[in-house]
Amino acid sequence: MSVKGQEAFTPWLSTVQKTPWVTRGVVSIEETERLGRALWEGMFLAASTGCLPEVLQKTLQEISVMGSRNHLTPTETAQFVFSMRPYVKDMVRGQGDNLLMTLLDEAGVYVFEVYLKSREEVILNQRQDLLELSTPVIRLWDGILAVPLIGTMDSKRTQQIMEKLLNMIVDTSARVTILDITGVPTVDTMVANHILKTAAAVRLLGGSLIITGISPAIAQTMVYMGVDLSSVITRSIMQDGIALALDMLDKEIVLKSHSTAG
Amino acid sequence: MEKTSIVKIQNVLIVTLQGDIDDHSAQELQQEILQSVIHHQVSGVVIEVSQLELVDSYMGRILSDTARMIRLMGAETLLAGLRPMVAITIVEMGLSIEGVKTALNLEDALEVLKGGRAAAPSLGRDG
Repeated sequence: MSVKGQEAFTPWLSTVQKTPWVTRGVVSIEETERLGRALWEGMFLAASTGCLPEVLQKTLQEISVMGSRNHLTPTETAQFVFSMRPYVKDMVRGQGDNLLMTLLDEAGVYVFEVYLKSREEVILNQRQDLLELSTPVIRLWDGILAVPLIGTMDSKRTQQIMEKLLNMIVDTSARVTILDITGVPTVDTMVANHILKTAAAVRLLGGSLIITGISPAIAQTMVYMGVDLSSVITRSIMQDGIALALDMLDKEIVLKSHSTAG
Repeated sequence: MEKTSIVKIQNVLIVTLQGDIDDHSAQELQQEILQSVIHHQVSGVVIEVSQLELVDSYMGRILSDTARMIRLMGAETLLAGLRPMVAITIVEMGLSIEGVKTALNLEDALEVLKGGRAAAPSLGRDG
C-alpha cells in the first residue's frame, strides 16, 4: 500500500522507528506504520484545507495519550510529529512551505495540549482514589458504624464522606455512627459546620451521630470561636463513644466470668 | 390521592408516600392524615418516604407542620426511610424539618413507637 509522497514517507517512518517510541517498546513497528500513515495522510488533508481536520486531531490524540500513558516525556511524545519537519517539504510539491510548517507546528502544539490533559486526568483520578482511601466507613458492631476522619476537611470531602456514610447507614441499618476527628489537624468554624451538616443528615435518616476525638485544644477553640456543637453528642475519646453507642442500643460488654456466673 | 396510601395497623397509622408530590396534593395529604388520626384514634403515625426522590422547602414545611399538628392531637410522628441523597439535599439547602423524629425504616419506626427504644433525637429546636 502506498501513500501520497511515498518517497518522503518511507525515510520519515524509519526515522520515527529510531525514536524512543520504538526503542523503548511503546509501540510495535506495525503500529508506527499505522499511526504514521494516518498522520501523514492527515497532514495531506490539512495542507489542502488549511486547518487541522478532525481525523488528524483523532490521530494526534491517540499519539499523545499513548505517549503519556507509557511514560514518554512530552518532548519524546511530540517527536513523533516534529520528526516530520525535514520530510514535509518534499510531501507536496508546489505547495507553500510556510503553510505546511504552520500546520505542523499546530499539530505539535495540539499533541502537547492533549498530553497535558491526559496527565491531568491521571492526577484527578489519583486524587479521587486518595480521597476514598482516606475515609473508610467501618462496621464496628451490629448497628454501629465508625468513621475515623484523617486529614483536612473541605466541603468536597465532607460531601463525599456524607454520601458514603449515609449509603452505608441505609445498607446496614446502622442506628449509631461514631465520627472520630482525632486525625483532623485543625477544626475551625468551617469544619465544625461540615460536622453539623453531617450530623443533621444522619439524623434525617433516623440515625444518631456521636463525635469523638475532641481534644482539649479543639474544645477550647470551639468555645472561643463561639461554635455551638450542643446539638450533637460529643465525647473526648473514641472508647467513650463506643460505650455510649452500645448503651444507646441497649447493649453492654460484660466479663466472661460475669455471664457464666449468672 | 392515588400516590399515597394510609394504612392503620393496631394503633399506628402508616402513611406511604409514592412518587413526588406537588404542593396541592401535599395540602390534601395533610388533611387526610389528620382526619385519619381522629378517625382511627391512633397513638402514632409513621410517614414512610423511601420512594420520595425530592423534598423541597414546601414539602419539608408540610411534613414538620403535620408532625406538630399530630402532636397537638396527642399522637407521635416518625419519618422513616429518607433516602441518603434526599437527606444531603435537605442539609445542603439548609432546610429544616423541625419537630419530626426519624427512623431508618418502617420496622425501626414501629419498634420506636412500641416503646422498644428511644428514637433518634428529633430535629431542630424542638429536640
